Amino acid sequence: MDAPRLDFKLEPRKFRRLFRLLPALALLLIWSVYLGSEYFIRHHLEQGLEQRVQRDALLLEDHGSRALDSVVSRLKAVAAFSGPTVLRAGGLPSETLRDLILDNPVLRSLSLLDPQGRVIASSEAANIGVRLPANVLPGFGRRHTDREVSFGRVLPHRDLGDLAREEPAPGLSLWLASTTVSEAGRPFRWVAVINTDYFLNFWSRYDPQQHDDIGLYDYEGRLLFAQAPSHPQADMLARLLGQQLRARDLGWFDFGPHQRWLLAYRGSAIHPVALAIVADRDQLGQQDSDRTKRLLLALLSTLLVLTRSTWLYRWYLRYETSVAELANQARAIGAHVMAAESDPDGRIQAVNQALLDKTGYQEDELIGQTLDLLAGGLQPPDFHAQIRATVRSGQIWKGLLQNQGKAGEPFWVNATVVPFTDAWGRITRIVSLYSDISDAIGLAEQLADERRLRTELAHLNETLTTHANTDPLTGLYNRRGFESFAQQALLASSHYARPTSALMLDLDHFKQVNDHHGHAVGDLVLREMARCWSSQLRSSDLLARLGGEEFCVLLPNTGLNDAREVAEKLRAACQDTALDARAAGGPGRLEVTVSIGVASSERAPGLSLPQLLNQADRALYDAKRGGRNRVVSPVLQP
Amino acid sequence: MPLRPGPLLLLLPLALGLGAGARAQTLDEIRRSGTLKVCIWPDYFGISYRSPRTGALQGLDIDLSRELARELSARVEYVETDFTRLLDDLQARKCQVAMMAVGVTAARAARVDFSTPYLRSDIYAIATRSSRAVQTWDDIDQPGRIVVVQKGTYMEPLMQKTLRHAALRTVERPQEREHEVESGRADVFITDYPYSRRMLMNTDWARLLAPSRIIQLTDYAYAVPRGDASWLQRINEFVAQIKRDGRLAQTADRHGLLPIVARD
Repeated sequence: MDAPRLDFKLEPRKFRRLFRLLPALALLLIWSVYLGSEYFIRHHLEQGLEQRVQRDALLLEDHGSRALDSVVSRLKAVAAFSGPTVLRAGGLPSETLRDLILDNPVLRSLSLLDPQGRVIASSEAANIGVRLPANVLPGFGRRHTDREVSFGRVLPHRDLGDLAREEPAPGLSLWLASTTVSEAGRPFRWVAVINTDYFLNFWSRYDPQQHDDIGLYDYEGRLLFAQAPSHPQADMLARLLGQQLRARDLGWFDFGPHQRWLLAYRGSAIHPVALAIVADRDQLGQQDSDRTKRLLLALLSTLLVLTRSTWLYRWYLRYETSVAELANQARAIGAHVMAAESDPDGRIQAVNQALLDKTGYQEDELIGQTLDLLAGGLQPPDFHAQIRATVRSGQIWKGLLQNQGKAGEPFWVNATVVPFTDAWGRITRIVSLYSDISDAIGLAEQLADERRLRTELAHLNETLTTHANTDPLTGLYNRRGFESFAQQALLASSHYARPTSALMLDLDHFKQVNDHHGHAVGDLVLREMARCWSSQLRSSDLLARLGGEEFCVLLPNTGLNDAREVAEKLRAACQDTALDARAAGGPGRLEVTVSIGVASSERAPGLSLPQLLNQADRALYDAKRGGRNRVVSPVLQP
Repeated sequence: MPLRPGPLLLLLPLALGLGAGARAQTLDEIRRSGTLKVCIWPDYFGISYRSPRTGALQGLDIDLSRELARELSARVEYVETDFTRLLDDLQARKCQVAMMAVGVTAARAARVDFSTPYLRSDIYAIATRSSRAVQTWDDIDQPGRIVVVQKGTYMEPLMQKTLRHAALRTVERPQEREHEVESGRADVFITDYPYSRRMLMNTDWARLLAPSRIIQLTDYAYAVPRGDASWLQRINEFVAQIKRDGRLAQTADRHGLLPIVARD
C-alpha cells in the first residue's frame, strides 16, 4: 500500500532540465529529418536529372540524326539522278519531287537552284522562279565536292518563296541543307528546306512539361534551334559546348553561377550537329512539389513542439508549486494533528507518526484495522460506522471523540473526517484528522477548580475580616479595626501635610445605667448613641467603639478648632437625645451625657496614633475631672 | 416492319418528276439480288474506316449499314469511294445508298437525295502540337497562314467562303492533309468531328482546335440516287427508327460520336 502522502519528493532541477531538453531534442529530430530528407531528395533528384539528360540526349540525338539522314538521303538521291539531261531539262517536275517528300514530315520542300541561285524546279510550285541570295545558302563560300551535303542557317521563313521575298513567317522557321551537282563546271544546287518544327514537335512530345531545354547546335557550339528561344547564358554555353565538342562527341558539364545548369550533349557521328539538353538545377526544387509541404510540416511541428512544451513547462511549474505547497500543508497537518487514512470501508491504510506517538501503537498494529480499535469501547459500537456513512455520502464529519491508547489511557480528540476523492469525484480514501484536546480539557478543569477555590477563600476572608474589626453590638469598628484604619488615615494625612484630629468619648455614669436598668438597656444606649453620632459625622470620619462605654472618632483633614466644634456637636446631640428604653425593659425616657477629649496633630505634625490618642485620653480625663458632660481640648501652645 | 406509305408520301414520286416512277425499283432490286450496295469512304475514321492493320471495316455507318441490310433481309456489299467521286458513283448507281456521313450541302442536294440527318457537326482544325503560329481558332485566318482541306468535302466550299486572310490549299490524296500540316507546308487542316477524333486517338503530334464560336453546323445524312421516293422513304424510316429505338445513340457512343448525334 502507499506510504502516507506526507512527504513529497520533488526534484525541480532534474525535471526542469528534462522539460527544456525534451523540446530541444524534438526540434533537433524534426529538423534533422527535414534537412536529411531535403538532402536525400535533392541528391536523388540530381542523380536522376543527370541520368535523364544523358539518356535523353542519346535518344534524341539518334532521332535527330535519323531525321537528317532522311533529308541527306533524298538530297543525295536527287543529286545522283540529276544527270546533265535532267539539269538541262530544268530539273524534275513538281509532282515527282512532291511524291518524293510527301510522306517525310522532316522535309518541307526540295528544290533545284541554277548557278545563279534561281529555283528551276521544286516540289512546291510556288518556289519556282524565285531567286535566293547566295549568302543564305549552305556552305556559301566553301569549296564543295559533288554530293556533299552541307547544312546552313535556320531562318524565320516557311519556304524558299517567302525567304526570297524576305517576308518572315511568324512562328515558323526553316533550316537549309544543300548539295551541289556540277554540269559542265556550273554548280547547280539541290536545296532541302528542313522543317524545324518537326524536331520541336517531337521534343515537346518527348518532354511535355518542358523541364529541359532541348536544342540542336552546330559543331562550333552555336545554337541552330531549341525549345526555349534563348538561354540566359547563351554565350558561355556556346563557348563551353564548342570546346567540349572539339574534345569529345558526347559528355556533360555544369556551367553558370553555382553550377546552375547541367548540359548533356551528343554530337552526331554523321552530320555536323550536336544535340544538347540543358537542365536547370533550380527547377529541381519546383519539380519537387512536396518541398513546400515538407517545410510547412517541419515549421508546423516546430510550432507545435514549442507551444506544447511551453504549455507543458508552465503546467509543470504550477504542478511543482502546488506539490511543494501540498507538501508544506501535509507536513503542517502531520505535525499538528494525528492523521489516519482508511479505505472507503474504513480499514486503515496509513497513519502518521503523531498518531503512533499518542496511541503507543506500532504502525503494523493499526494497518488493516478499523478506527474502532482506538475507540476502545468508549463509544457506541456503531459509532465509527455512522461516521463512515456520513463521509461516504460526501460530507465532512466533525466532532469530539474520546479515544484510548494502547495502554488504555483515554484521551480526547477533536476529529475531522474527510472523504478524499479522485479526479472523477469518486471517494477513494477516508482521512481522519485528530487533534488531541486532552490537555486543553485538563487545563480548563484546573482553571475552574482554581476559580471556585478563590471565590470560597475570598468569601471566608471577608467574613473573617468583618468579625475581627467590628463591634458586634453597634456595628462600628472595634479598637483593632479602628487602629488599622486610623494608622492609614494618619499616614495619608501626614503625607499630604494635613492635620488629623481624634475625639475620645466616654458616656457619663454608664455603669449606673447598667446597674440600674440592666445590661439590655445599656446595650440599647450604646447602640442608640452609636447611631446618633454616626449620623452627625462625615463619611470620611470614623467612629469606633474602643470598648465598654468608650468611643473614639478620627477626623481626617481636620484641625483642632474644627475638631472641638465636632466634639461639641456630638456632646450636644447626646445631651439632647432622650432615649426610649422600653423595648429593653427600661424607662420610657432616659438621658445620658458624654465627656469628650479632643486631640489634634495640627501643631504637632508627625504625631503617631498612640500619641494622638493618648493626648485625647488625657483631655478626656480632664473633662471627667472637670465635671463631666463637657468637651476638653488641650490648650494650644502659642 | 411492313411498309405502309401514307397518301402524301405516295404522291411524292409523282411530284419529283417524270423519271421517278421508272426508277422506283431499288427495293425490288435489293429484294431480287439479296444484296444492299453501300458506298463508303474507307478513310473515314469512326464512320466507315478500314483498319490499316486488320483490313476490317469499322465505324458507325458500317454497323448501321449492317442493321439496314438485316432489316431488308439482304447482305451488304461495300463500294469504296471518296467525296470527290461520291456523287458520280451515286448517279451511276454503283451503290444504292451512301452511308458515310455525307454532309448535306446545296450542291450535293442538287444531284442526290438526302435522308433526314442523323449526325450534326461543326468543323474543327488540326494543327501541330508545337505550332507557335496557330494557338487558337482565331489564329487560323491570318495573313501568311495556310489552311488545308480535303478535296470534295463540304469544308472546301465552306472555307473558300469564310477565309479572308489565310491561303486555302486543297489536297486530294489520303493522309495528305496530315503530311501538309506535319511538314509545316501548311498550318492547319479543317475537318469534322469524326475525323478529329481519329487524329486525337491515333497521333500525338496533333492539336485539336475547336471553333471559338459556331462556324457552321452541318447535317450528316445518307445519300441515295435521286428519283426513287419509296427507297428514300424507306431510308428515312430507318433513320427515324434507329433514332427512336436508341440504336443510333448506342452505336454512336460505341464509336465516340455521341456528342454529334442529331436528336431531331
